[in-house]
Amino acid sequence: MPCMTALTLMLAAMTCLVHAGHAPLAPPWLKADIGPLSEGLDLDETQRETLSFLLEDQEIIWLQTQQALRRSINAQAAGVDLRAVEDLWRAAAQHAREAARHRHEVERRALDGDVDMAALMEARRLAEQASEEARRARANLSVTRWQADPGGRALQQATALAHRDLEQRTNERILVLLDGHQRTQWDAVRRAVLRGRRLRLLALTNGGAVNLLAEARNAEGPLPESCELILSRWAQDTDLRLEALHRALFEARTATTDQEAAAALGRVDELCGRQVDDTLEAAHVLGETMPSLAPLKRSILSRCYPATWGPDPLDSLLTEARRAQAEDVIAVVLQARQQLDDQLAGRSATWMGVERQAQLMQRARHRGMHVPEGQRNQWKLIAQEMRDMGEARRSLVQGQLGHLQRLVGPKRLAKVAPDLSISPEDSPTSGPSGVPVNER
Amino acid sequence: MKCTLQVGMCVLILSGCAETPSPPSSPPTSPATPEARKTDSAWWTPVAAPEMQAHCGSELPEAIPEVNGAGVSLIDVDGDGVLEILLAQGATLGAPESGPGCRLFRRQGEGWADATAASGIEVHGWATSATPFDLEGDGDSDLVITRIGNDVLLRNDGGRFTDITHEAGFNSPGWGTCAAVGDVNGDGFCDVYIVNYLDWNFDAPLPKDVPFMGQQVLAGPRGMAPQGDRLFLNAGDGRLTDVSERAGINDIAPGFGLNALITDLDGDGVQDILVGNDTTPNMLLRVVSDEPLKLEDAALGCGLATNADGSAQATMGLAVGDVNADGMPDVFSTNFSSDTNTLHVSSAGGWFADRTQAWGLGLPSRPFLGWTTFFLDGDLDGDEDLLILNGHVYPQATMQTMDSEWAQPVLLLERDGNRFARRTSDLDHWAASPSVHRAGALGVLDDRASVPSLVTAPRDRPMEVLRASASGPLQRCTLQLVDDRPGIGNREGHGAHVVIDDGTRVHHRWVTTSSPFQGASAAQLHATVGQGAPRLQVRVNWPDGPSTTHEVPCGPGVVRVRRSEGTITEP
Repeated sequence: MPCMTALTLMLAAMTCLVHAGHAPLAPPWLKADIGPLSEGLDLDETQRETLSFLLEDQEIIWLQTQQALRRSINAQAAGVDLRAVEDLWRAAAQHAREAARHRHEVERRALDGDVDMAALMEARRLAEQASEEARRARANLSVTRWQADPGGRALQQATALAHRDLEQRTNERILVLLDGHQRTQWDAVRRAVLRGRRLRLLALTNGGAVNLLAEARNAEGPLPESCELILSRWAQDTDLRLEALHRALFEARTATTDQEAAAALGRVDELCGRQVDDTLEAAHVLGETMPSLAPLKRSILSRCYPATWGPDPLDSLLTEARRAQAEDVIAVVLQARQQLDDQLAGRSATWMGVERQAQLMQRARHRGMHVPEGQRNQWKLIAQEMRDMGEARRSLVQGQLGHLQRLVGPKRLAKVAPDLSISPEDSPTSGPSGVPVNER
Repeated sequence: MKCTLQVGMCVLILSGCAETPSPPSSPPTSPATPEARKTDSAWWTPVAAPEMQAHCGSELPEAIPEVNGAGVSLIDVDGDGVLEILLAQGATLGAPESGPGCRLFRRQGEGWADATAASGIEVHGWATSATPFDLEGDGDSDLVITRIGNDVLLRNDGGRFTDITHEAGFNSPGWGTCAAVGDVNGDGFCDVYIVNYLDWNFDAPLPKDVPFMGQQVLAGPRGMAPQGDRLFLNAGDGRLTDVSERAGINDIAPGFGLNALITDLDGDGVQDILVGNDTTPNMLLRVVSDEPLKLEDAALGCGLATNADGSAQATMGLAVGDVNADGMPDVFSTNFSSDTNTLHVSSAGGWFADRTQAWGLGLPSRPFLGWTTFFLDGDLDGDEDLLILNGHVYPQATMQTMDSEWAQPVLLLERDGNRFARRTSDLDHWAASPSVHRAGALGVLDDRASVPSLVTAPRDRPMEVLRASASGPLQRCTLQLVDDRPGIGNREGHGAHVVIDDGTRVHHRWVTTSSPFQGASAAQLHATVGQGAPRLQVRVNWPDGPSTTHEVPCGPGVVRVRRSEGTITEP
């Protein structure tokens, strides 16, 4: 819980920062008031420089809802090191896949007449054991779901506030940062546009741009003239992602078992930025949404189903439902990608490909900025890019909670709000799953 | 030998595979599981209905006033325990002041007769809803009728209505979509909250069609100006006072209001007003000061403003139930197609968590555009199921163009453990037949019975009356509160929380008559109890504060729970 209060504090700080000079829009549950974040923060030089970029007379609205953030907050509230739990699950799942592959190989040999009963029994025992371990590891992930869900709460409120803010802004030109794949982004943009706002939309990932266009198309057609979409090419994996999406879709459609389909659809969900919690909830009822088994002979598969994974309590309805849902998503994404390409070709005047990350970093270095390698300085890059675009008046309205953590350390929290800070004694040494906290 | 061995291997593989892993950890709390077996029968059976098709603009809507259809309400005009049907109809865009107006239908034998003229109800123009309540505490049901234009207040004197709009100081212009009644300030009289939609001028040219999913469709509400709601306090002397300004209603950013209910949603003993807004965040108005009365919007802080994505939804219909059996109200709302209906479940700390997916309510609703909705036990197994009337806004809607059809089936969602599942029984012909539904009202039409009926006014077919199933492992029981203290106006206990204990399970109900879209159900509480439960323990948390306990029989007919006969207990 102390971790949660720290995050709450961060959101409060961000809200205070954001609304300096405006009527406070902090949700009622945010009680903390530590004053503007920019006052005397205990930041290192890089952090301070980055923050100054962000705060320098800018009006930016960051529309982002990250389910990963929700999980992260929930995990912290539950005292669970989410990364460690995920690593364990991935390792267990990999082990389960290998064990299953081995078992099927032994079974295949048995069906071909090469029967080694001891090996077969042992392979099956190991596979079931690995499967059980993987399921337990996966179940540990859901511990973040059955708590009070402070992450979902924070996310819901932050998004609603950001949307309201976007609608109520009076500046003629606003830069909106888009990230992720949430359909609500377009909803908020549309409302602002209908209220006569002129927006510049900077898509931090191509997925964000694709999603925005998909929603725009679904709703009212092409992007309104009053919107200018700027496509960032930071997300270099977009093409790979789409390729993976195609592959996952193909696997889902050609799956010979519901389990294979579920596994493929799980990847589709992930690639499409579907709500992970929904997937978890579905998986909770369905059983496991585990990685697919190794390719098997159809004859064996048909006889094994559904015993390998246990009976489906909903008689496959859920799997079917998820398949339908995911295909809808894929259709939208792919259509939008096509539309994205078309519009990029046809409307180059209002579209701008922003430099790649490496180029940005190089340019930043030329200017004497200290830019360490890695992803930690996306804030700086974003700020630099926005400055380069010549945005005149901007202020940070809603920020990304996760990144903010890098700007405010526990030391600073202890100084400005001792009641809400995390003391070492409060930090649990292990979560409910037995996974050591903060081990990584 | 090899073959035998292979067969044996297959058997072995199969038998080994039959071992199933243990189920994952269980979901949250489960309400009491009924011990009785279910029987399959139609949940709703059509019976005689008024032979009339409700009027609201052209057959296929061309502008947003024509979208919402007519309102339907149930009212006991003459206090004889038999309910009449009141239809609040629209007009036409060319002549919005001269529509067919409101129509009152009274039971006549096995059918219905138009009793409008005899009732004195002469309300024309573009009516949208009618809400009964006791204005003066004289025991009969008066009416507030919302319109696109000025709303109307009718006083009931022994079964005949008189327009007292001006006399009562009831000045409510705008596009009223419905009125919610309840005792907001705890003085024992029903106050009136008028929900307004948007600015509309019949004299102005129709707005241009807008693109939606590749189709040109009628404009709105987005891009139009929402109208603020109004709160009228009832002093009990026949006058309603507009306190929207001083109570802080005018300080709240207006939304496109479609419906509202008044009850105690946070369990603090004070009535709250929940307003369902179309595409704008919902509002939860909490009383923060009694004298002078002051309300604030707390929806964002408690999760009811939006869904879990932080996105404002359409919120055409609202229903209150207790899906997780914790004694606190949970809120179900119906929404646009390609969106989900939403279940907000109350949780610790006053937060209403969006648990739509966890309860299986997301995916089944995506192809449908929902309006009126009710929690009601359809199969008499002891838990509350869900009924949703559907129909699209745009006549152009097809599965190919909008992933949704203009005419849609009714959704019957059966409670099964900790989830709801769509019921697709062949017996429910009515539900399966696509129609363009909008408003509906629920109530036991004759108080000598205890089986509720549903009255609907679809856009594309004559009015319908459907009787709920009466056959099942359990029996239906219907209660009606009577606050029989002298000089009290909230006689039906609008907003009360009622706990019904039949000895085997506990049911929580809230008296919220206005939450179905554009109408009002009877102020009755429906529960299914064991066949062998001769008497019920009932606790009523009255909206003005005190609680009373009662022991009442389980029928026959509608059981009156009179406040004066109860024992006052600690809330």
